[in-house]
This record gives sequence, C-alpha cells and structure tokens, in this order.
Amino acid sequence: MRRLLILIYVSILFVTVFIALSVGASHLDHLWQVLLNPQSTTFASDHNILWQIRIPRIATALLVGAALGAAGVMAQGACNNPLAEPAILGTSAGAALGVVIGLLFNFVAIGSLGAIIFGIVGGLAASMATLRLAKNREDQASVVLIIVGIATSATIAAVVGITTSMISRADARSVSFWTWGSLALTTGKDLWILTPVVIIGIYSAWLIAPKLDVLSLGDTRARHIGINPITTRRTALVALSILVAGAVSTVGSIAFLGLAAPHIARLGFGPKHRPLVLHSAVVGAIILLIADTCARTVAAPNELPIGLLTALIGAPILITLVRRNMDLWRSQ
Amino acid sequence: MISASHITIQRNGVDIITDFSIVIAPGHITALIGPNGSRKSTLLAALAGDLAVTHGEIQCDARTIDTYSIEELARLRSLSPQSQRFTMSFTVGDVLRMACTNSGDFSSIKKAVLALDIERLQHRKVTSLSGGEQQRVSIAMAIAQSASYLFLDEPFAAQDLESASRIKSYLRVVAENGIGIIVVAHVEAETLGWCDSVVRLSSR
Repeated sequence: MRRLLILIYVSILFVTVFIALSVGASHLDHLWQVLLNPQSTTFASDHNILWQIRIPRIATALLVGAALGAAGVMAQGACNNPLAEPAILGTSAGAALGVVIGLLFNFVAIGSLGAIIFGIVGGLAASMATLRLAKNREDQASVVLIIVGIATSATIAAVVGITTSMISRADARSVSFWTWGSLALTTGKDLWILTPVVIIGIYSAWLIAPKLDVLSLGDTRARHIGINPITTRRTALVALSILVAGAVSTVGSIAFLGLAAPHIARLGFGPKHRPLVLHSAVVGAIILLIADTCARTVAAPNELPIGLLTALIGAPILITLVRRNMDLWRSQ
Repeated sequence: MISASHITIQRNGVDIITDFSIVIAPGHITALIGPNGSRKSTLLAALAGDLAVTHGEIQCDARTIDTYSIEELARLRSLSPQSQRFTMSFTVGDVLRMACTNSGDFSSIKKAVLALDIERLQHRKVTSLSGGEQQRVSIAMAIAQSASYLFLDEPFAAQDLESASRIKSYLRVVAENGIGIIVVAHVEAETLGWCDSVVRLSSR
C-alpha cells in the first residue's frame, strides 16, 4: 500500500516537472534537444529560457515546497496541534520581518545567506513569542495557541506591510510579495544558498522527529518517558525557523502549504514524524510546483501571487481528505 | 527506596499537602487512598519529581529527587496517569515502543501486552480504542518502560472486574521482580488486600 502510494506520488512529481518544463510564456520548439544537451548552444534562445529561467524556477518551487511541507510537520508536532503551521504560529511573518529589518539597515541583501539568518532569528523569535503568550503549557492543543498565533502573525505582518510601503525600495519587495509570495523574482543564484539551507533544515527536522512522536502523548507523559518537552519543542522550532526563513527570504510568505502538506502526507503514511517529514516535503514540493506552474501560465504574461494558488489547490484536497478521515487527529 | 519526609506542598501560598511522610519500598505495593479532592494525584506528581515541594524533601538513594535529570527519572519511575490522551493515530505497538525511548530496550513490551490482554490490539490505532482499552495501553506503557518504581493513578477506573483482577495479579508479578509500586485508588481499604500497605490521605 505504501509502496503504491510512493510510486503514485513520484509519478505525479515527474509528470508535474515535465509539464512545468514544457509550458510557459514562450513556447519551446526544441525542449528535448535543449534539455538533454545542456552544453549545446544550437538553440540559444530556447536554451536560455530553459536553463536560465525555467529550470531554476522549477528547482526553487520544489525546494521551497519541500521546506514548507517539512516546516508544517515541525509546527504541528512541536505544538501538538493539528492547526499549527508557520503562517499561524507567526514564523512566516517573523521571518519576513527579520529579512525586512536586515534590508532596511543595509545589513544584508535579499537572497543572501545573511538575509536567511535574519529570517531565522525573526521566525524563531516570533514563534517563541506565540508559544510564550499562549502560556506554553500542557494545553498546547487548545484553541488559545491558534488565536494568539493568528493575532501575533497579523501584528507582525502589519508591521512588515507598513514598513515596506513606507520605504518603497525595490529591493525590499512589495507588500504583496511578503503576504502572498512570488517566485517571479527568483534566479539561479538563489539556489546556491537555498539548497543547503533546505537540506540542513530538513535534516534537523528528521533528527528531532522521533521525539515529536513522544511529545504527542502530552508534555507530562513525555517527561515521564524521559524526553524533555521544552528542549524538544525548542529544537523543533529552530528546524521550523530554518526551513521557513529559507522559503520566506527567497519567495515571500506562502500560507496554507505548511498546513495542508503534513495532513495529506499523514493520511497516506501515518503519524510517525520521521517518515512524515520526508513525505510531507515531497507533497509540499508537488503542490508548490503545480501552483507555481499555474501562477505563471494561467494569466501569462502576468503572474498570479503564488499563495492564492496554493490555497486554491491545497484547500479542497485537504477538506476532501480530512472529511473522509475524521479520526485522524483527536482534538483534546 | 523513595522516601518523602515531612513534605508540605503549597500552591499560591496555601498548603495543599501538609507535613506528610511516606516510604515506597522496592518489591512493595502501596495503595494511596482518600476521598476526591484529597490531593492524591498532587502527591503522586511530587513523588514522581514533577512538582517541587515547599518544605521537607523527597529522597531516593541518598539523593533528593530534584537533583535527578529527566533521563535518570525515567529510569527511576514510570507513571500511568488517570487518563492518557492520545491525539494522533499511532498504533498501540507504536506508543508502547515510545514508552521505551529512554532505555531503547523493548523486551518487556511483550509480557506486559500479554498480561494486560491487549495483544490483539497491537496493530489498532490508539485513537480508535475504548477508554478502558486506552487505559490498559497506558498501564502497559508504564510497565514496559521498566523503571525501578511504577506509579499508577486510578488504574482500575475504566476497567471491568475481570480486567481489574487481571491487572492486580500482574502487578503482584511485577512487584515480585523487585519493582516498587504505588497505586492511587479511591476505594475502601477492605478491597485492598492484594496490596502490601495502605496509606490514607484525608480530605482537607
């Protein structure tokens, strides 16, 4: 059963990548020749479009999607709450604020490692603040965390919006970029920084994952079993912040993906966090690539904000799957 | 031997347990009884090292309990709470293995599962079990953890007579292997003949 599911989603991944390679604002007549001969310069214009624009963009979509899929697992596991996700915990908004502050004071340039570090600090600070304000207690699963998180996110997002509007500097990006995300501004150069950050993030998530299984029994039981719930939660939030900062500083905030991907992966592969991190990363990558391919083709040559499409694609899938499996996550 | 001597626990400046002493010996089953609100669970939390005492001290092997690390405590005692909430759809086998995370030794799962009659549930999702079955899983987790002391908070609350007596006879076996056991119950002392000693907490 699991092997079949893996086969299905790997096929979906390949088909999606192929479609993403072949569609776009300009039509490629020699897709295969150019794809299979990266060194050749016979079809210079097709070659440029494919290797300079489309492939870097597809790779970015896959990496960011994987980062957000794994980030969602960290958020839900750390908070023991099915509704926790980077956009609700304040991680995304905090990371955006961190990057904007770094840009404003000219500490860092967008797309640099420095920007990601500012994002990690911002994301971590904001998610810790949410947990602290929600009392960081046994009743994590309560709706209090979600309400506090939504409020924290909204507050920080408002500060980001006001700041970027007031300074209106091109390199600080637009309000729409920080709220809805966009892959339109990504270049091949971003991949050199994004790739290692996402790998480190997913690896840290994979390392802490087994302890999150125990954390699902509640803080007190976890402590009785010998797992420190506080350090476990903090480590998971660090992994979460690395993943989210990598994503946010490259493509802005993309809501909803971090919520949908883990639930979809959990339905297929069960709740164990270690495999879940990897499966959710793949699901996230597929959804984001589909969304981005639509974003750049549906209204071509105009681009749609990516966050609108992740919501449009992810939400119906999530609702359908969860309605069929109501016992997926018992609310407390 | 875990011994609490003259402990007082205060919450918001008010005594909730006053000048209380108890000794938990290896291989010994102690019942802790008292009416609702007599703070049995609070006392259990203090003995388990979850809750600091205001006065007095709780000692084990010549060390006070608050000097134990989380990992050392997990080797010292395990605890099955009054009600264990399972939020994620792990299987029974999964959660039993989680209970052994600290030691990495899964050998005692099999015996506990057989003795508590949950063998056939091992591949079921914990979230789909009845309250009584979930409670037996929680007790099996605490036993499988293989700590030196076993704390059980109202282990029979959701059990029928047959399964309660099965649990009792298995607890005797566990005690004979040198494990010290505390059982919190709110039953009358007469029905506790299977325990070695009974400690009564009075209501405040």
